[in-house]
Amino acid sequence: MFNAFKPVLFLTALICAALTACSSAPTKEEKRAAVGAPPADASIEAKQVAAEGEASDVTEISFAKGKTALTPAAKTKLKQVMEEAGKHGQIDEVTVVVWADREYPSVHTEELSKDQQKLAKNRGAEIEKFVESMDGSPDVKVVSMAERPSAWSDWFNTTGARVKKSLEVAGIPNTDTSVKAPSKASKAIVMVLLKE
Amino acid sequence: MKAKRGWRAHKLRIAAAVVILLLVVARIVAPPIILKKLNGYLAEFSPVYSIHIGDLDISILRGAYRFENMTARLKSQQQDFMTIQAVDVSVAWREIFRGRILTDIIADGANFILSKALIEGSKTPDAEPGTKAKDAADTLFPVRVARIEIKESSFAFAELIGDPESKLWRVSSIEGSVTNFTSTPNSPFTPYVLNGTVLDSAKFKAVGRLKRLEDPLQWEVDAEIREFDLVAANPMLKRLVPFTFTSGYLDAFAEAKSEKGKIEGYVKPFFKKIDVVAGREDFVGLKHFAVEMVGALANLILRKSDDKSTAARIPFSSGPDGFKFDTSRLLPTAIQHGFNGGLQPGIEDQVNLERK
Repeated sequence: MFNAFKPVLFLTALICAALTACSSAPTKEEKRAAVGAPPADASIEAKQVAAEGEASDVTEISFAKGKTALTPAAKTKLKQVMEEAGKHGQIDEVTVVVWADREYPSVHTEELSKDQQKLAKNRGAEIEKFVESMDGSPDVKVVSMAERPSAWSDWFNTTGARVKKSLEVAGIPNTDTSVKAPSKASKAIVMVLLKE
Repeated sequence: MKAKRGWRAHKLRIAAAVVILLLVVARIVAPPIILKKLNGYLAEFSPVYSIHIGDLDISILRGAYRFENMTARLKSQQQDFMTIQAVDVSVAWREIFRGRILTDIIADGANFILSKALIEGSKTPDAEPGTKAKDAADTLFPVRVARIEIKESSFAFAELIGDPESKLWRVSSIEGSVTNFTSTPNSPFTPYVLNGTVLDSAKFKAVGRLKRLEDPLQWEVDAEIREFDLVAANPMLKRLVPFTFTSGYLDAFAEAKSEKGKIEGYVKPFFKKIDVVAGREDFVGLKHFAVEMVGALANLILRKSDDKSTAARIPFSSGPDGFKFDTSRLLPTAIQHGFNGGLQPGIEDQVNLERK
């Protein structure tokens, strides 16, 4: 009888001890994981799409709602990813996957409103301009997540169609899904490919 | 002169016709002969396992061949532990431009069941699973591989092959890829991606890289599962702990790597909106009651007030003493989450292989 309650007593004692003695100090990693710490450089979906495209480096940035200008944090992340990739080879191509302020359109929605499409396009152009100001040589491809791939790009399996399919398989939310986590609205994924 | 040129053209036409005829004959005759030889080898290549291929198709124009209805079984069990609807092996044409002859493999509809019987069978002295798997792979895929894709596949763990569905831990709808499989010193990383659905409930995602040229193999993985319905795990938990959830969801995030034979990483479970003790719950015993009370109490004290989540960050590592979770971090991080603002859901991008 007493044996059955051993775990209860043990855990209760542990909790009480932890609450009163106020435990050991958090480690560096735990502090980083806590609220207020900078977010990870790239989400798991960004890493997946980078792995499938054999990109050497990847980062994820956020835009303010309705804005196209890069925030200081976004500029820092872009600089870091370009510099890190540059240390390991010559940059061949930069692929920018950019969202408007709404999630990726579902098969029923097909494309977001013209305003949202323009917002995604302008954000892509802003990133392209910034990347080219750092290193003018790489080819920059912008993939807008404000519209689904056309039949043409599906047929020819273009970079845009491949990236969109990878992200869908990775489970990014779309305009129809009830669970909007992990939200990609107002975000951009930037992947760097090196020359062989 | 004109007659001579005409005769040469005629000879060329005959030669072309003969080559085409030979290819057509080879296309018709070769598959059954190769299949018979292959199945003969795969039936006897191991005293513990056997593999059978239902059909073989060759596409000369595409530079490809395709196995259909492959099955693998433990000879002692006489039940399949793996079935694959189709495996397509084709020349990786893009690699030809890099001066390498490599192949792409696509496995469609693969189902693998890991059972205690299979694990025990693999431990027998003559099983040699690693060597035998390599022998079979070398026979089935003689040309080196560039890329592997997995489509619509599943993985399950069962105590016995043939267990009813409720007793299986199943990851279904698996889609995955492995790129740069034949890595080089200049391009040492082999990236891989895996997506699936756990117990028909939650999306599972993993991504990572291998360093296949290193000995021992080096690897890293980032993994997450979101919105896992804990009630779906009740049949398993009831038998294993015993413990059951009345309601609740689990998000879990983990990173790990293995460098120079040493594993390190962390796991961050987030329990959301959990309810452990139901109003009229049927406890299987006193232990079941006690464990649920502990769980309910811990959740009551440690859950965050705004989103009702209970979370912790638990590092793990392997060292001279073996693999271990640093459970001393469980309570501090759970308290930090519950009282001091919380842990962030998501991977931290902190555990990565060295690039050099």
